[in-house]
Amino acid sequence: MTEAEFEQLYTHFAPSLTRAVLALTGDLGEAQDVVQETFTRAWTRRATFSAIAEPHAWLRTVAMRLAVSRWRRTRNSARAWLLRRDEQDAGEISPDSVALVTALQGIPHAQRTAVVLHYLYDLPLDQIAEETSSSVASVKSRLFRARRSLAHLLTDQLEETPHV
Amino acid sequence: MSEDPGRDDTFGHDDAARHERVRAAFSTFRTDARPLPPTPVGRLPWVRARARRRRRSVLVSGLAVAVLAVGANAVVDGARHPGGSARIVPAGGPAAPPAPVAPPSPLPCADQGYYSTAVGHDTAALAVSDALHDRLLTAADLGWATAAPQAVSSAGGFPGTPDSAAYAAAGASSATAAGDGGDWDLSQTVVRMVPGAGAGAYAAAAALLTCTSPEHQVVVLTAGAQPTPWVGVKETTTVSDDGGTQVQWVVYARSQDLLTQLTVSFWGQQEAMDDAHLSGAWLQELAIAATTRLAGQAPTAPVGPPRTGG
Repeated sequence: MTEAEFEQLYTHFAPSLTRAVLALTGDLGEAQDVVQETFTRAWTRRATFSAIAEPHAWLRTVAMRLAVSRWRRTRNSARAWLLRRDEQDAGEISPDSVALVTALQGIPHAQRTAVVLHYLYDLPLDQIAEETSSSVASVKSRLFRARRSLAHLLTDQLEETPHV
Repeated sequence: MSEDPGRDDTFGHDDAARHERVRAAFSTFRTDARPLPPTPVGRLPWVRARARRRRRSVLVSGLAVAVLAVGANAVVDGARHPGGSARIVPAGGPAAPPAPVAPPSPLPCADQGYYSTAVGHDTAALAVSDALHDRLLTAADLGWATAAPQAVSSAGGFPGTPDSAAYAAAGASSATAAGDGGDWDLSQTVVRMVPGAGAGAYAAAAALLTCTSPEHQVVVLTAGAQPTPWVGVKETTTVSDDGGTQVQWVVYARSQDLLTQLTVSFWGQQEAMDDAHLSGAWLQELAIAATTRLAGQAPTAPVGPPRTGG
């Protein structure tokens, strides 16, 4: 894979990956760092990267793992995201999205990963199970628990989040 | 109830309502977050590395010139003796079987900001053809049970020789072998330099491979002498903006104007394992096999899968 091909790969997949990691971490800067690190790891094996059947799945899985390993357990991460959003002129963010990112920080990371893969990437359960090295039954359980918690947390967060 | 494992069909009435609630929240988020940018391309590590490489090109060129200045009838084979003195071997002469020599001690890099053979040098982008495919290690040469080497569509040149006009042809392949808890990846590139450029290109590349800086640590595990010199190292790169510590094993070898580069790394389920071990004896066997194949001969025995001990 040439440098030009690799930069095309980055341009194509990095934005959606950044959104997903942002949902996981609640911090845009952290999401950018994780995505950058993911592509750097891909870069080091670019000679064989073209042989990977589903490069987007490889990138996604590495990014999810890096996000978990770099976890920041701050309850203020959504607020940090809002501040960074202003700095980077990222556009208008609705209170609903702030509430979702904040609520996601309140559930265990395994549930968070499952729910992000399912609702943001629209992945089927069996693929989530494969990408998270778990069973379909575990994924179902995590989604069920995540929905229950998120529905509760989203209601709470929307009541607490000021308009932006 | 559906048996499709891809469908989430577990929720009852209450959970169906939650499902719709969460789905709506993610739908809004997906729209809101669409403009959120990843890191701009200009700030990415490999792009920054390219800029750093350009700044270093004068230093690298100077190093290559210094190596070439050793003499018209002698070449540096990369096998410096411990203590830092260069081993000078007469060029030409009859072909001899590859033979190891004492691995040289790494020397400080001319540029102490040098940090990686993977991204720390300007690399020529080379089109790959079948012309050199008989100089790449074959499945029989490797003797790996899991996968034969696969053809690769493009390849990079050698550090220290960024001008693609210096290369007459290139071939490349990759192979994977199952290891304990992960996979070993082997990437090989073979290039034919334009006539007379092989020795200088090899010397420049070997000098960069075996030099040390705060961010580029090298243990030289094996080396060979003329007429088919090689050098094999364990290379550790520690740069935070390149993803932290990375370990790989690299072999360079030369046969006249043919050069080969082999890179070995160990991968867990998704990530390179920075605490992996590889036998120096195995790396030497790989280097000898590659050198033999580079010279147009078949290795005497398969290398076998990567070993971590011995």
